[in-house]
Amino acid sequence: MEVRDIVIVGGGLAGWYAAARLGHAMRGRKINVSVVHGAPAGAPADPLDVFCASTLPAQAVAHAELGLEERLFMRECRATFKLATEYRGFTDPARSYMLPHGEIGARLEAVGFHQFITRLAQAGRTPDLDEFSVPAIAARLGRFAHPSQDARTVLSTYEYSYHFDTQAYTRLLRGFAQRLGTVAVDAGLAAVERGADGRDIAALTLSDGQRITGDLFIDCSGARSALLGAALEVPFDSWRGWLPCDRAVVTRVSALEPPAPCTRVTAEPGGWSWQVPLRSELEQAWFFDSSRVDPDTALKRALRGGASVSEVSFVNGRHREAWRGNCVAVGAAAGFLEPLASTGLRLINEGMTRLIALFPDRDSAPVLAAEYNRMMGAMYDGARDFVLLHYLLSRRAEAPWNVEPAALPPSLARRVEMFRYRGRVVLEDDEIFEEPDWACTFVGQGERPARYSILADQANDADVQARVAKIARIMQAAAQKLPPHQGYLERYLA
Amino acid sequence: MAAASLARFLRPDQCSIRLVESAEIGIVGVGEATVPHIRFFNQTLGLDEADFMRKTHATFKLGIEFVNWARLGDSYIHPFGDYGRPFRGVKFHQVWNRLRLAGDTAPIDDYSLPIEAAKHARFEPPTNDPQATLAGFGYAFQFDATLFAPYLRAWSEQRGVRRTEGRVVDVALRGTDGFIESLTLASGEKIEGDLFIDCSGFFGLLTEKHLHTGYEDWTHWLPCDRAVAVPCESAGPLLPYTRATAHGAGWQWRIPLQNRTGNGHVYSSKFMSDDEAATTLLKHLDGKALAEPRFLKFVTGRRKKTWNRNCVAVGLSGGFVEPLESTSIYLIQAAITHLIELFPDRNFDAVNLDEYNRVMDLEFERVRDFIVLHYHATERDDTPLWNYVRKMSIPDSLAYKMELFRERGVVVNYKVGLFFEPSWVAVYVGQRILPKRFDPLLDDTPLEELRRHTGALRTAVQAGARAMPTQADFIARYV
Repeated sequence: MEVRDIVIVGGGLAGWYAAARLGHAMRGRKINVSVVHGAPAGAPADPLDVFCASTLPAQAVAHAELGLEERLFMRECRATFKLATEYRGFTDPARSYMLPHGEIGARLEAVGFHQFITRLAQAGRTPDLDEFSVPAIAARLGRFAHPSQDARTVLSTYEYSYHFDTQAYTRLLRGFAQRLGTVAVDAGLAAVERGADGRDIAALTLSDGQRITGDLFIDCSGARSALLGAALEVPFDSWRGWLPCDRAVVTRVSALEPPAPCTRVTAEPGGWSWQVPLRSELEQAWFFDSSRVDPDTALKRALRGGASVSEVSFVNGRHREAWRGNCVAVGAAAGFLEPLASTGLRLINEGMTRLIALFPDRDSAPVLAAEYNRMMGAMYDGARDFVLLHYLLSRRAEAPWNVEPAALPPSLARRVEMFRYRGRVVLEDDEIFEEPDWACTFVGQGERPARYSILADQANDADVQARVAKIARIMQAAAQKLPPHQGYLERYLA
Repeated sequence: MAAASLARFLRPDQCSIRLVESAEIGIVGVGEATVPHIRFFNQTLGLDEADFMRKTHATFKLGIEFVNWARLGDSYIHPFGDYGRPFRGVKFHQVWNRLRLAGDTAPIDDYSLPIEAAKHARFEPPTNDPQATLAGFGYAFQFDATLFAPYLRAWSEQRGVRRTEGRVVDVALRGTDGFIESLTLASGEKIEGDLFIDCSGFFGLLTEKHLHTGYEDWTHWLPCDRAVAVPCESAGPLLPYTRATAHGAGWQWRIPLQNRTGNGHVYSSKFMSDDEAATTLLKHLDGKALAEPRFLKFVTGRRKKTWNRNCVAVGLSGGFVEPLESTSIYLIQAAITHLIELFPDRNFDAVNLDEYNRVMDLEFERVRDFIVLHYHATERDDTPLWNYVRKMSIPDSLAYKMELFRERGVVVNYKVGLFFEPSWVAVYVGQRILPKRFDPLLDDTPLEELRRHTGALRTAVQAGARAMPTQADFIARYV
């Protein structure tokens, strides 16, 4: 029995993103998608409605697959390009490192480039990995151009992503989904009826009294997880013991400088801040632990710059299953991770990609849900390890940075142990971040492995230094030649 | 292989490598067929492909044919390459399954260039042009392992590996921690070392006899425990694939080399006598036997720690899975690659050994699951062996994978380990594990559109294979 009626609950970014992906994947199919988009009175904001403003490179690919034209999207959403995230003040207040979208250095042997840097560090020279990455250098210089398609040039070794206005993006997705036939139901969720066996959702009652049935329910209701968590009672595992921040204040200020092609994440006493450059504005947010920092103080600080300030509460963590019965949760309804590594939209997108790949029938065996939960669980946990690593390695002396969590997740403990031991990056199945991302973060946060790979030990010191220096020069020269980001944006979007 | 790789990657001013072998102890040499990874091994050493093929009598290999596995009379090829091309982002095997469930009868083999080329004894290296109509493919070799060893020996000795002829008669362990300190040879020579690599075969001279590492027995999943091997004269065209024909209590390999054909019968001593096994083998040769059949015994499974103290077990001393998918040499290669990545210092810290053993356990278990699939997914009920494997309980990891494929044609992907989606699809479909449902994205697509897509691919496959020279001609020119 095919799934014909799909009901999406939640009209925020996640809900309309889900509708757009489904509408596109199911074009030409006799499928009805409706989005229950009214929020019940007093419902808290979905944190992802704000925190998807900075993305990862997969988004350009996702838009291309959707057929969402880049110029249109960028104009509508006042988007800018992103080549990297700059992490400031994690080791000491004056230092920063880049997490670029792309490769680091060059393949000198069948081993990560960072192994050569460890070798040089042991010989007394300590270059930063940033120096060997076109996107990292270009991000610092405020330069951007689309990567080259020509595999012979270093300008093909990077990727890019976007910063954008999430409200405009949600409107754009809504229009896109509606043109593909999605029906917007202008009411909020009032009650959920469970099926006879308790595992399924039978119907929803809406605020206007109507009753909606469906074959598949997609819970995009945000952190309240109205279907998966509240109605089906799938337990939520909080990561608060590892990631203590639970509150953010967000504001937007006029940009005083041209937009940087990177997101800035700055470690501060009590938490961290981010700056996401839009076309003529800067989105700013402070993330903090409300048990240590007075929210009013944070609000006052935000008010100094911005016209309007919103406050968002969240808990890092995820539901033990994202798919149960005929209900799949996507976005914060499945799990939330503070946007320190720009994972918000990526996790929504992966949630939809995998749902489409495992798209069920009404009578499918539970193994499809099991596989979905295995993959999405691994993806959330891998992203959590990545974010938690920043806290763990920070050398700052004050909370929350100086807090040693009681016991690390075993997966992260192994990654840290292996990197410290020999610079080895342990990768799990189904995770977002790859070897260069982990290596950059470890090295950027001041970790120097105790030993390096024998694969980085072939040539003599002088030869390695010469090759490494040459790579740095090539990267530097390539990045220098890129045009300023602002000018590129103006020409591209003219 | 271990000596050559280490000689390639270790600096001679920091390490010296010695290899001890005895001409009195023969080599098993069942690992004559390989998977495409062997090319990476050869490239890493900088071996010249034509020279290597000449000296080891090698042929090219595009896949493995399985005969009589799911049912008597069945045959399929597991190719080194993908099938067809996706249709609007939907995987090709889903499209094929859609048409199959609609009654179309074209086998999935029709959409694989390496299969079509193999069937017609043709070969040409792939161009792997991403714009091409057909997916790219890989290839491996079939070679004489008894010639590959001396080939690598010469290569290694040129790069400073010291080889010593001799039999190990004693092994001295350090009193404090039981690490291997030295070997004593029959000649009385004593060889000390920091790291010992046990390539002594099943016996596990160092890891088992002296370190008592222990062995995890997988015979309950893979009951074959014997093999009998014999070379025979070549017959017919030079085939670019290995054949594995199922018999009543096991299966028989046929590996075509340039000058002869290698054959062997892997069987379970519980279900067949040695005599009967040899008779079966000889009855199914393509040409005249060139030697007396040679018998081998083995226990399928894995050493509990393939790295124990200062001893790494590489090859059969680390574990054995029957060569049904030509994984023996791959597992040697994996053991060496991971050892180089995790090359120790004299501290032999537990963190390093644990990581190595974690990764090697995954390598072995993923190969194991794939091999068990060939036995378990059968409808054969004509002999006690097939009845046993059909009904036996299988590893949970495999049961899960099979259920997902049956339900929806979904293949479970992983980072560490051999065999990716096309290989799993080939063997599931070949073993008649067929998805009961195709991807719902195809639900409302007119069948004619799908047939246009598959029809064009079938034509391209046939044309692609026809354009290739025969393997015999290609090798004559190349080698």
